[in-house]
Amino acid sequence: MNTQQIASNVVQGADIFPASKIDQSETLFSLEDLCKVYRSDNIETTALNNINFEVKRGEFVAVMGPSGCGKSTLLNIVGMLDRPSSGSYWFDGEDIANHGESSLSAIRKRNIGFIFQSFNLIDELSVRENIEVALLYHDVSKAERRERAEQAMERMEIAHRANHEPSQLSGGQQQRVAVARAVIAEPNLILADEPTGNLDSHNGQEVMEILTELNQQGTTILMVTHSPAHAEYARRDISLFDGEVITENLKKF
Amino acid sequence: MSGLNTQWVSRKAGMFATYFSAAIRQMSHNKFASGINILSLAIGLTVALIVILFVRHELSYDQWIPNAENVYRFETKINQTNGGSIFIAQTYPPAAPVLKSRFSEIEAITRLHFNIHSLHRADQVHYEDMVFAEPNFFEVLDIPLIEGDKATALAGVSSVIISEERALKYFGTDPAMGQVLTIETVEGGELRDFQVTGVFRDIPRNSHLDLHFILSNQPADDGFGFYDDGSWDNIMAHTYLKLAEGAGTELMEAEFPALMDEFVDTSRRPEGTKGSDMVTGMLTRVTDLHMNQRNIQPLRPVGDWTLVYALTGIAVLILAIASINFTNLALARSLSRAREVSIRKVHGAGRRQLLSQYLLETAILTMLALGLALITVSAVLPYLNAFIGKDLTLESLLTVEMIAAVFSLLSFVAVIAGLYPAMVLSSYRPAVIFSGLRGKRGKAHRLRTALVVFQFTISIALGIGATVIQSQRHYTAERDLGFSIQDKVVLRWMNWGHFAEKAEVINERILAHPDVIGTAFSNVVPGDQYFGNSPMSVPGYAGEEPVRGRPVNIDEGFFELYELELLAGRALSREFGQDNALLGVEMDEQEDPVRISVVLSESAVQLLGFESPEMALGVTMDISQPLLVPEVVGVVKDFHFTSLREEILPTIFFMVSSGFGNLTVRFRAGTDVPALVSDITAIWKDFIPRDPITIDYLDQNIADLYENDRQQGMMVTALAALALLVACLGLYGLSALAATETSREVSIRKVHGASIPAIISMLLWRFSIPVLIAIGIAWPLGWFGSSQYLDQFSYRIDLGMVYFAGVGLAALLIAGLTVGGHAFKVARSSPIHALRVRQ
Repeated sequence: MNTQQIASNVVQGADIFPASKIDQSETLFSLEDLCKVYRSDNIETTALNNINFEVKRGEFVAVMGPSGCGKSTLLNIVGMLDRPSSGSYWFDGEDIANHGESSLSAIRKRNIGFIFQSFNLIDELSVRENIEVALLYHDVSKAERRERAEQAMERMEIAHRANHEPSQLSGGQQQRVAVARAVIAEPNLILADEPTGNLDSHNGQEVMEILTELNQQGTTILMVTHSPAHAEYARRDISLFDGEVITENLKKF
Repeated sequence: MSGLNTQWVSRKAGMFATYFSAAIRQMSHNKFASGINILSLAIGLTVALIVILFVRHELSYDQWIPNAENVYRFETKINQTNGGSIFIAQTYPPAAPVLKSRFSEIEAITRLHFNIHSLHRADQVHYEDMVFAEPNFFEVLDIPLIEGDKATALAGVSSVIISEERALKYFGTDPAMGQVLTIETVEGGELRDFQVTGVFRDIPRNSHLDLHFILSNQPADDGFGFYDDGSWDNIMAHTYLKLAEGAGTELMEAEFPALMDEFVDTSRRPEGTKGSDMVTGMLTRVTDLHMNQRNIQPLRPVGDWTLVYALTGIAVLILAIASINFTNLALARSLSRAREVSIRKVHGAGRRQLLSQYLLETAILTMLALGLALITVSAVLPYLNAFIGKDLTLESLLTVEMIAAVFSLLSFVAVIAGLYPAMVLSSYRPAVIFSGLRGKRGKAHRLRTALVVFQFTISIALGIGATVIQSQRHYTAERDLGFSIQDKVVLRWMNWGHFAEKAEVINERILAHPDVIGTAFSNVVPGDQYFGNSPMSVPGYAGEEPVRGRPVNIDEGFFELYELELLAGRALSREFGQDNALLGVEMDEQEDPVRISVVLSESAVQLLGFESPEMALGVTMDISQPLLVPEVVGVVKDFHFTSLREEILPTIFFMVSSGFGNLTVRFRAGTDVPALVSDITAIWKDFIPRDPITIDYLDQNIADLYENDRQQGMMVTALAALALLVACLGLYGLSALAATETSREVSIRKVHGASIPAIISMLLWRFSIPVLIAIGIAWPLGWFGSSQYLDQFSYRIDLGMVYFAGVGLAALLIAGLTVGGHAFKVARSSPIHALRVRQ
């Protein structure tokens, strides 16, 4: 398995990862004075403090910072799995605060794909079924679901493992299943939470290549990572410390 | 050496203390699972303890009689002319001395006669069960005397020994010895005095005997006791004998037929009939009497092996369901305990030590459950005893065997419930656990599902059984019996001695009561046990054997009163001389045949071969009584006089105007019945001031037929409900524990857009699968058991799909409600945490 191959496959698979016309000046989402405070018993913990930044369509942004700096909280809020304590979160021109649980769920499934450090595959399901989960709650026929899962597996070079269970796969293979699942519903935004954290350097690099390819085809990516090397793949990186943005760098390639 | 031993002991003790405190801490940390375990085990053990007490009680009958293993009753099997046979507990009075002289094995033989008599003491009059006995009574049935001398207590002809309880009832705290009780004979109402010569300890409930008054037998043939004039034609004496130590019964029983040939009076039977053709003798050990159902009219309700086996089986199953909860919850938690196991192993714990630690945890839980079960049993027993009419006590567990039995039961549960999870837990390899790799959980998961399937299979099968039993009971209660039950009371024993003379005038007075619609005399009323049997035949009847009919002796007005429907002809009436042609006729002195009218039931007419009821009218019958020539004057529709378990018997009604034991009184609907009964009692008192009236409610008389069914139905229903409760407790626990396991999956699905309803229905469906499989297995089981049960009823419900579908649906619903709460909680929880933390 070499990276070149995957990348070329991804390019060939343009039909499932269409290179949409991206207007890089258009904002996908923005955070304004965003705060998140956790209260437990008598202790108040500020996880995010006055966060302000925006992400434009087609960007690849890395969020860096030490453990406990609020990276995951940020990702959860952007992923609409959690709500801010104050401030606002605009996604695709809409204020998220105005949406209820089920409406958020609908926005999320249309727009956002997730990749996790611990893969989060369902143990009892096969590779194919795990990938199909991302389409299960969309209005997609069974045949089409099958077809698209098939293609996603081809692109990720895991088709031969379609009927295996996750526990029978290596970490790198599991993460490729997770990536296939994240992209199958053609999301506008992929949120990747330390996607390489559980992988060796070789597999980690492969996953980063895949993400880069996806970004080049127009998918916006927000990635939390510990690894400065992997953060290098992003066009911009944001450093958090104790819940606040301390640096923002735009890199030129 | 001894120092080493002491060290070893103290080290072991220290280790035990450590395990013990670890186990206690483990339990208090997992209050939820421990609580469910203790609760379900406690329910299982409660049922098991009660069943142990019940079975022990049933099997302990008469063990208390000294020398019980050598004490037997001589019983009689009567061969009926229709080829059947009935068993009765008595024999011919002269059999006892003959047996004693023929068989050297017999150390002592004694005869008893049971009857009801009225007992007079100061101004109290009560009907009491009396037993007349011979002076050597105690040589065979050595019941303990509190006062009096066994050798002489029954020596005279006017002695009575009484139970402690009756001594208190009649004499209070005054000494009973030497007091006089006056007892009334059946015939003629003669009063006879008996002097108390002994007081015996109350007979325990676990005895086939129900003794309160033991009187000296009266030598004369005056309805007091049994009468032995040496003739073998009247089976009326209960005969008990004591065999020499080690003597067997087989050789003796082999000689009984010859004995019957030699002695039994066959003069009223066809030429050439041998005594052994008519009757056979048999010996039954007193300790076997209770569980022996063959005798008709037992002294006390007999036991039922089917019930003993069924209850034991159900108790074992409920205990198994409870043990499975234990296993399942332990397995479900095993992953979260894997870390603990690994840490212990890393620090040097061996597998054996871990095993004993987990088994100790099980043992402690089991002991707590036992404590709870004992408290519950002692609280429930009084109600249970009242319900089943037994005398079960927790103290009866306090024998070495019973304690041993309970503890082996406990160890069995502890090992069954605890061993497998303990083995699974202790087998974890630290390296694998710490690396965070998830092993294949398929095997444990499949086992868990299989065990849940087993639990629900049992619960559903029991539920089907309970529903069928209850429906059959309902059907029995609602079924049209072919006559009217409502608004009737029955005056009993109207043909007794001096009561008989007053019967007519009492009847007239009752008829004059404004609430009374009508009355009718008869020898038997619906619901009574009745064993009469008359051979019937008609000219042209083609069958080989005569039709067996039940003869019922009624007075006019009976059909009308009971609303029996006449299909042809007329009812019996005093207006027609032939109807009561037997009035005042002494059959013993009669030489010429008497023509009498009879009414047949529909089924009798059919069995006799008539095409329609009308065709039977006017036909002369043969009922194997040379002096009676019955003519059919009417036909009534079939009706159920006895339990619906039995086929409708063809019936032949006579009107013989004497010997009516019962007077049925029908009153207006809505009558104040207690007031009416007290009016009737007042009328009775006017004519028979000395003796109390005995009056029954007809509907109760019929309901009594089904008392056993009612009790069994309630028991099975209660047990089925408990089984389902325990199974649901387990499912509840599993769904709660599985929540941690499923929450990650649910989170993944939610992140990908699954809605809360979608998640809930997915989880509900997941928990429904084992229940659905269980329904599939339970249906044939329930069908088999239910049809076996229904087979005993001649008139029964159809085993429709509704019972199976209904119970299955109910189980599904209950299971759904059980897991629904957790499913809802899991479905609503935020996905964030579960996705970050890898269990």
